[in-house]
Amino acid sequence: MIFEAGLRSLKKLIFTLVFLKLFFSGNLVAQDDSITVTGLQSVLENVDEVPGLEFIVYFKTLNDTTDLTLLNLSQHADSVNFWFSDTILLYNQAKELNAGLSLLNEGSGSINYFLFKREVSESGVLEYLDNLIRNELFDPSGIVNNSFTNEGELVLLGTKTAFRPYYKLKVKILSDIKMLLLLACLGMFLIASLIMVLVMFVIKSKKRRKEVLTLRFKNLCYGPISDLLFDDEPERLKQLKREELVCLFPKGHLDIDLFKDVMIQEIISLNKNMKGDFKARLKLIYRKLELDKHSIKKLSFKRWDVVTSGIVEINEMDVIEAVPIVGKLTSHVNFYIRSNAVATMLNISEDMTLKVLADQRYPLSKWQQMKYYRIIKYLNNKGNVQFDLLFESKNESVRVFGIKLVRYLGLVDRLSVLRQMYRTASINEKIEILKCYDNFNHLEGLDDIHTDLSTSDKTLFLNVVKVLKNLGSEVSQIILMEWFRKTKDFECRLKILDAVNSLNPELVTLSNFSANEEQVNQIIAHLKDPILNHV
Amino acid sequence: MKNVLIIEDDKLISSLVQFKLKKEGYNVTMAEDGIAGIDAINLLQTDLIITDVMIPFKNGIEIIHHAKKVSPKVPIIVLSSLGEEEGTVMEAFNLGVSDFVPKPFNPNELAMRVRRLINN
Repeated sequence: MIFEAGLRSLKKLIFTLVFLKLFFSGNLVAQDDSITVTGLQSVLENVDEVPGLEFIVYFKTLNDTTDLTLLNLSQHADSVNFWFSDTILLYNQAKELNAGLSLLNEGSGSINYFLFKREVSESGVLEYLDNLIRNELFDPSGIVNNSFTNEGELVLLGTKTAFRPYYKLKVKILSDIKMLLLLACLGMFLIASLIMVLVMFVIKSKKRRKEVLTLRFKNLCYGPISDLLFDDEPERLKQLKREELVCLFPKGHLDIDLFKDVMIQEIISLNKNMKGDFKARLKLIYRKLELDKHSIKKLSFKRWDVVTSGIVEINEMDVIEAVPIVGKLTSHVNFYIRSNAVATMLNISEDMTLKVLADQRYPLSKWQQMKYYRIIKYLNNKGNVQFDLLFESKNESVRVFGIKLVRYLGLVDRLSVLRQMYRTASINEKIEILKCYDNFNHLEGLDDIHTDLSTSDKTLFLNVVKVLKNLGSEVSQIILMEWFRKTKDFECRLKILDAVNSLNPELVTLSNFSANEEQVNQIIAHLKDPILNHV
Repeated sequence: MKNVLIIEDDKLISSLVQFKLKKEGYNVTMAEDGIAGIDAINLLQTDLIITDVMIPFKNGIEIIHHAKKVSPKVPIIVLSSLGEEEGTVMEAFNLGVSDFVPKPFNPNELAMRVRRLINN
């Protein structure tokens, strides 16, 4: 178990590391594609027009009288020294204009960047170019020198340059391992979902077909069962052979497993709703039609639900010859098979020693205890059930259940056995034995109970105090008061004082508690209050 | 021929009771739920009603209430599990049902009770 858990944790760790590796490597690759601020101007010098990017040259003259209108520059409305050009699409043209202005006039010029008519900084242009390159919308390596002068050169250049972006994009998708992984995952999910839908459809259609058939078979078996049950001569049913009975049912149907299942269910249902000689008749029909063989056959199936239904059928119809097979299933790992097998064995094996229960290796759940209690109660009413094996069981939960049975079934004669068990009993057994003592006012066990006041288990201690509250003697009062002084736990002190107050109210009043023990005063006030002492 | 109406959702039980009562010479009608039962009470001339308490759509008490309003003289037998509806059974008796047959039951005994009530 621990090894499997470790292996699972290791798998999770490896998966996480692989995922992180993929994630970070993706991040690094993305950064490799970017261009730097220093490289921006050289990139712009060597490329053709960049979509959306425009340039305007600003020039600030030193002299107010300088007129640059001849160079197609416009003067700023608020400043006579400030001139600016029209929008220029190519960086080289802007650069040439800026250089010319600086050469011919006194002043300082600058090239300003506009992206879709909005002025941006160099870093903004960089980011924009970065996006274009990453999305394959702009290729800085495909530099086109626009210094050609005639159309022939342009055509020549066009034939030499392959159309790269879309081709590259296509190849990149197919060669990108992450993209392939993603596509593979999506494909797997798609296939898995299709398979699931198909499986669900098949299961649903099978289930629907089974429901339709079950309904049809139910309708088919009403008539023959009624005929057999209300036959005027009850003895005739006993004399009938299987072949004669089979003739009452549609031909070949009694060879179909589902029909047999439906028949058994209907017979069991009737068995629960009918009384008198009809029960015996139903069992006779079940046997005559050899449905008991079908129930026994179910015990060898691998599916736990089929095995369980077989056990239940054997239990309901008292198929005693199946006892050896059912007996083997009483230690089965499956809870339902085991529980029903034990219940069946208790019900039909007629073993009054309850050995099958005493030999149980698995702890008994409350549900199992309730189920077995009903059967044992029925058996106990019928005959003399022996409970000793339960008390000697190696399984603690079985011993505890045995002690519970003493209380539930009023087995007063077993109290002496419980008293012998008490000293060596476990905490849970002791608690149950104490409940029995309390229930039957069994005073003989008081010495053992007093001894257990020194237990370190709080639950047992509280149960001991609870029993002493009802059964305690004068000695018990003194011992309880001693323990009251020793213990500091509020709940224990409350229960002790409650018990002493119940046994001898004067003792609580007369006891010399130190005045500063506010907790004790509160408890006493609580116990003496006519309303609160019931809370 | 006397008419008996059975209102019972367990088809197997109602089929068996029908089979038994038909053998006894009664004309039997079956209703599988409360609504069908009330329709049958309204439409058919019934001499006796056998009803379960726990049935779909309308419970047995509603059916008894309706039957007593439509035809107060028709005897009613309640066929149900004792214990699970003890209070309901008491309520049914207060409404004027003629008899109560607890499950598990003996069909022969039920047939005898039917005969006694119809003859009376």
